Amino acid sequence: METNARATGPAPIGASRSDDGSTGSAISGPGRRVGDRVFAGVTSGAGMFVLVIIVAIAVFLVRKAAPAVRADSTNFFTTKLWQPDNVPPVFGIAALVFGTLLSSVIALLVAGPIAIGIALYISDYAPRRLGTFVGYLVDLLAAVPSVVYGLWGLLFLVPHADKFQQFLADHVGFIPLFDLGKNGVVGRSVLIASLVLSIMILPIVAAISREVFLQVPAENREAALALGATKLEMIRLAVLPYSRSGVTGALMLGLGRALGETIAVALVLSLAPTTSFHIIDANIGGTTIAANIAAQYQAAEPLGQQALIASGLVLFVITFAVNGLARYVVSRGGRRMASA
Amino acid sequence: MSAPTIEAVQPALSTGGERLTRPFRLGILTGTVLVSLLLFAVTSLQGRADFLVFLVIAYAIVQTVVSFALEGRRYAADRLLSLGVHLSLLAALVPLVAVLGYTVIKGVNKLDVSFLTHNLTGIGPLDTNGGEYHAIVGTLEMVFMAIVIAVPLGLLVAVYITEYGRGWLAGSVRFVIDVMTGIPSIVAGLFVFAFLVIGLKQGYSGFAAALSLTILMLPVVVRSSEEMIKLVPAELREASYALGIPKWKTIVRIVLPAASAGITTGVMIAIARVTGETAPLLLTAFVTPSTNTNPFQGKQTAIPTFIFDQAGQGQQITYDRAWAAALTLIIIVLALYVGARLLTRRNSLARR
Amino acid sequence: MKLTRTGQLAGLAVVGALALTACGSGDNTTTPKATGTAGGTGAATTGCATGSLSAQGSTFQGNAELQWSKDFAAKCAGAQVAYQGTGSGAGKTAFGNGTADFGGTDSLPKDPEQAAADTRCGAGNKGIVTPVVAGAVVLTYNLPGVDKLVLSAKTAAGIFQGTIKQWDAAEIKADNAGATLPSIPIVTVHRSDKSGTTKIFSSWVKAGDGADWKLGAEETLTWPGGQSAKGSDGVTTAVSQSKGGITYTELSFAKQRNLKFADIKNASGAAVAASGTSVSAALASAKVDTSKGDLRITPDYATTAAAAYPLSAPSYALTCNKGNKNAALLKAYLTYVLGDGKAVLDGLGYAPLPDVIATQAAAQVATLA
Repeated sequence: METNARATGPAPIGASRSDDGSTGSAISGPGRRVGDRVFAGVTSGAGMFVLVIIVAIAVFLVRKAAPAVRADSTNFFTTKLWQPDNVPPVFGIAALVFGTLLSSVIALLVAGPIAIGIALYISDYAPRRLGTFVGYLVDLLAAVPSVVYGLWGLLFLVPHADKFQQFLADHVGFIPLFDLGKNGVVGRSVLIASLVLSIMILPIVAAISREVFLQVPAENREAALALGATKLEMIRLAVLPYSRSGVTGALMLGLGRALGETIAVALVLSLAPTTSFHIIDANIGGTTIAANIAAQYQAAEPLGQQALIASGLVLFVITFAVNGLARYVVSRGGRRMASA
Repeated sequence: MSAPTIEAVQPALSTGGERLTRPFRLGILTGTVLVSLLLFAVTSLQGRADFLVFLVIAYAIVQTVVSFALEGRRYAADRLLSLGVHLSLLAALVPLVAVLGYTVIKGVNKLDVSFLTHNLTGIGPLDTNGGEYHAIVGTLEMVFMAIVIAVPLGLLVAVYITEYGRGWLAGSVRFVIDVMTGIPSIVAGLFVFAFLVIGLKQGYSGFAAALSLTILMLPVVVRSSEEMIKLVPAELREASYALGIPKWKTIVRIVLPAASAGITTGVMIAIARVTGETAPLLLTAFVTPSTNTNPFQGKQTAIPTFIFDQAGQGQQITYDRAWAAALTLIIIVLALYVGARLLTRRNSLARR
Repeated sequence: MKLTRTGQLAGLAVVGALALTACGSGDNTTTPKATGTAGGTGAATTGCATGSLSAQGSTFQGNAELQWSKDFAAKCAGAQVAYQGTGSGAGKTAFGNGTADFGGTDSLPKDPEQAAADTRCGAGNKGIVTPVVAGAVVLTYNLPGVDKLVLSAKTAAGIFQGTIKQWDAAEIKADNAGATLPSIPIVTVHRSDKSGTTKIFSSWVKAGDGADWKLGAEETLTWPGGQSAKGSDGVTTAVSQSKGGITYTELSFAKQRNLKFADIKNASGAAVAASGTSVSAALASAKVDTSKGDLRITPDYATTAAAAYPLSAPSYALTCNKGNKNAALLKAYLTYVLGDGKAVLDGLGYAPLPDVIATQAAAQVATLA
């Protein structure tokens, strides 16, 4: 920012009007100076630069993706196969979107309750200092890079998963999710990939929920307790009503993270496009949009690359929708809380 | 939302209250353990993990039943929630300990000076030496370049949004930054791959990787800086204006320094996040066994891609290398996080 | 100001770290054996050149390439060849779009791949393939207690198409008279990426069991089920992690990981183990097509030679005939590979090319520019 040094001199410019929209100065005394104009120009230039770049990226990606979707010999949205470099090209995102959603939703189902439990522990059960410490520990989980989770999943979880999955198949196999039919179990299953994902999104959901719970005014809690409510009742009556939207938003942000995760899934999961709910069946893999891109980009010929870009755009639209919804829910909740 | 009424909690006053004291609960626990042990000894139930699961379920049931009988439904439910909350604490700490502990145990054998100072050139499939030196160089260069681009740009954009931005343009910039926070990292990598690496025939390079990291880093920097600048009290600005100091100078000399601790925290967290990114680097810088100090030309390995590559080769020695590199990566990233935390503590704005 | 100082310290730390890394390359020096006099390429050892090549592709030849590049660097000071095993499809694509200096592939380029390679090589030049090594594709399995297994093409077809689901199925028992097979489900593992090994495997099954094999013979197939993984290393890892697993992979990978692999019943009815000799016996009857200006080999997967391991194939290097980047080094390296490089093959589980083909390949390498 030293670049503006040359403009320091008090050079009053014809004061009142200027297009940069800077009206912030509380006083009109010294008037506009060259420095202000330059600085306003530089910052708004930066803003516009980012805007233009992102729009350019969007246009570039759409223009790359469109020809592939047109060249597809089948319906891009309903086809399960991914063979864009075949003649004729056959590919679609049905199985990829299915796998992405399935693994992320399972991850959320596992991580959600645990994360909320932890958040409650920190906000309502633990002594203050211990709670803060646990909060740090949970944040540490968020700091571990995804490739490390992938490595751990591949070399620790996968080799130790057979027994657990066989147990599920033997005892709750009547639930279609854990149905094996005549097939065997392997560690590289959708369930195990989802478990790795759930560990990764746990800290995100927990951290946001904790903040939300801590923001509930102490008076509400005290009022409930004063009436003789048990902790459960206090949480149900005083905490949850105020934090429902915040927690929903936290869950959705976690979902958004799981949807876009690449490397951990690529390392752990057997990558095969299917639309089966049998998440521990050795004969049925599963794949996600992100992992598919990582696995295919190198061998993809020009059309294959464009097809991958199209799938990337679909992923982006999904995560954008989820994140946007999360933000909306949180902001709505925030407003209500402020007015409450 | 129908607000809960006072009547709803009224019955609380009329029941007997807490009777399941701590010694009582310990008794239940001991009893459950003993009965479970007995069951595992005489029936077909077996296995340590199975035992723990069985024990937890059994204890939950026994406690609920006893509490229901002695204290009533409300306390039974309350105790169940308490048990659930403590179990979820356990459920979250187990993976933390498992991941970090396993990485340390597995990684510490191989992580020595030789591993840090050698690359993988001339390492045959049967050799057990070789290291991650080239990956460290790659990570430092890529992240450094991403910082050089993303931090000034992000700061300027944050200043624009908070201090100058008005109307639809600022709204669009804000929206675009929001959109950017949701870009999956693989898509950022795919864009740079399609545009720069293949499209403009620049080939893989550390610079391409830095660009993809910039896309991921920028929104984090903007968002955190924006929050921190907004926290700077208006009185500071007004005092400055009252002294006749121009707006730009007020921002550069008063506002930004006041917000700098918070901004630095945000930047460090952004750095920590991109340092661990793998997917975009794979698509933009790829991997190579040799040290490439020129980030503008040729493939470059970073620590995360090193881990991914070695893990993918699936042999004991490559697993060992992957673990050692994972340990290095965790140390680097955690150091950044802890640094950021310490800075937050000193951050006078956030404490207000 | 306190905080600015923190920033300065952080900056200093980064600069310091960069400076630290700027010294030295970290190469693993395997002391070149008194080659190349200092200061000049003119007097370098015969068959050497300096510079670096970056290549990727077939994981089939990956282990050999790793060993060769190591030995070549030891022989020639200042020469570096980096090979990354990413799959044949990736090798051809990367060569075509210019991200690799040469590509490794086990499957011959299809028309679009050939066109991309020709374009990359510049006007008037074209992409050519040179066989560099031969090897066996083996069926590795993970069955505790079963040390010897024989499979025919027909049985393999049933297993990988999902019609044979258990290890103690009648078809497998028929191939293995007297063996005790466990009654556990079969977990098939196949390649998720575009793979020359998949093409070799499916070509063999198709040749041996034309009628029942419905999946075709391509680099990517539409599998009816089973696990999938990337690269030869990926599938072998998956099998070693899956009880009851079976996959097809290059012999070298199975050996390296101490995995058991099945003997193959060839068209003569004999059960043959994969080895250097049985691979050479199979490739003796391979046809060489020189009509495209290079060496394209069609192995006879249904060979009736009794000693032949039919699931054998060569693996190629994809280069330009003219207009190669650092042609001198490429030529030196490939000459080494086809010459002294043969010595390491047996230990790694590969087979040398049959002499006829090797001679032609060496002659072709000599014309590279």
